[in-house]
Amino acid sequence: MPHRTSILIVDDEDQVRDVLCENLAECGFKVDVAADGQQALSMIDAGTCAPQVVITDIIMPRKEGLEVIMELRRRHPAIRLIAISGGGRTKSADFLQLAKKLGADAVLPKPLDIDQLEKTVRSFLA
Amino acid sequence: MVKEPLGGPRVAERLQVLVIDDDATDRMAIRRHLLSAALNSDVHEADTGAAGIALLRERRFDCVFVDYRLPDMEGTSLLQVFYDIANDQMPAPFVMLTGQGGEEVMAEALRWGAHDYIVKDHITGPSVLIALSKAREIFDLKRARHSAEDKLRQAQKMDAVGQLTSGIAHDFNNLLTVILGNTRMMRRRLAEIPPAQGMAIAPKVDAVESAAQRGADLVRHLMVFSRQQELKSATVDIGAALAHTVTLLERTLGKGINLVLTAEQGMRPVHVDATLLENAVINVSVNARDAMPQGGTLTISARPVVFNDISHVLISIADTGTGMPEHVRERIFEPFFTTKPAGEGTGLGLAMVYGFIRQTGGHIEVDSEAGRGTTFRIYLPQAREPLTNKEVNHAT
Repeated sequence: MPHRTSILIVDDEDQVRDVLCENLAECGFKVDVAADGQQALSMIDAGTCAPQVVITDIIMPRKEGLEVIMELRRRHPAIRLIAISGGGRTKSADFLQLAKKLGADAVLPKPLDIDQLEKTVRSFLA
Repeated sequence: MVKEPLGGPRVAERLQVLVIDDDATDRMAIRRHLLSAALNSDVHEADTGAAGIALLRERRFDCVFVDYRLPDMEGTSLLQVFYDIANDQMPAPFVMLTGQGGEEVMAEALRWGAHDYIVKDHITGPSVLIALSKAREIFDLKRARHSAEDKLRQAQKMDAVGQLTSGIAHDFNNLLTVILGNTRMMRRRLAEIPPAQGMAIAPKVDAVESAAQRGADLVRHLMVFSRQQELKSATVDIGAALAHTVTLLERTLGKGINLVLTAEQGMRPVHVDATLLENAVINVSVNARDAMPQGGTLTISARPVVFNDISHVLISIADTGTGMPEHVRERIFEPFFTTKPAGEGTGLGLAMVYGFIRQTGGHIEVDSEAGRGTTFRIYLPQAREPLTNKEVNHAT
């Protein structure tokens, strides 16, 4: 079996996680999921998951996406990062622009255009 | 058109004074004292409450003297006709003329909105002038306080609506991701089965997807209102940008609308998303056109002003249309508020303009009077850096 690109999806909404997982798996990627930033970092640190690409939501319980981005940039600089967000829940802040500044390789707004997401992932591999 | 400043005409115009009193001697005394003080004033007189009320309904006065006892009514009853008890507002400064020892009348007069009083036996030059200036000062203070409270309440309401909106937007964007992601999967499954079998399902998937896309557009508009759109700001020469917008408007607004642009030369530039600013000006202008079904003049102007102690460029967009009543003007920037027939307006246009201007660090306000027209004023903070040649850009 050829080596497949491994993706980790981090989102606290399980339906969002499921639908992204299904769609990306269908695109031929190996997909893992985590429900928050804490879980994602533990999985990577423990080696149970070795993603080339991490797709992370921004607003999450326990550990927010922005922190995940900063920590991954520091500890695993080779991992490519895509930040996704549906906007601030309580205050108006441009989280996606902030994510980009903190080191996300790409940012995509929700509702996600999955074709666009697939294209973005593939652009990292080219 | 722009309303007169608070408190009415003050400089260069003559002071309009009304005396409502059935006693010709009292009326004459007040007139004489005002004129001998070399006050540039016109003194109008009414000898009954009804005549006074009619004059007050007809025109604006800078001060009103009213007798406590009129042939057809009590002076306090006349006050009650005009007193806006909820907002503690009178249409003009009022001075009550009371009898000797009429403390109760004085207290009652003040309770019903009078700003000061004079005892009738003491109608002297100084007492008239002091009462006049005191009444006008109290009137101005109350009016300013009311307007500040009003602005604060409006701002708080808009903030609350903004919070609600961004909360809904965030959750809906997740839901729409789930819906659109699943329709994508359904489409792929459909592609795997013979078309004959999928025929009945494919249009349903299309319908779900297009509804979800419409939902996504709606949420995007709401996010503009809650100041969450991506701005592509650049240093913009407002004069040039408006000139470009006006060429577009000439085509859009059609005949019957006289379009006037006045922009001061040499203004400092503004840091703003030029395309979105153009959309905002067009949006306001199209509303203005709709308010002028018989045609009229739309004046767009730009000039530098100091607003909240900061240098701004003020863009004003004034029409000569039907204007809006107070209860419409107050809600004009709220999302989903529309006066257009159902199905014709989304109620999001001006809400988006509001969100964009606030996100840019500017302010927008509106002045309107039914029958006289409407003026929108957009204040944009001036950029620190001067305009470079390369950036003399406008919306394209």
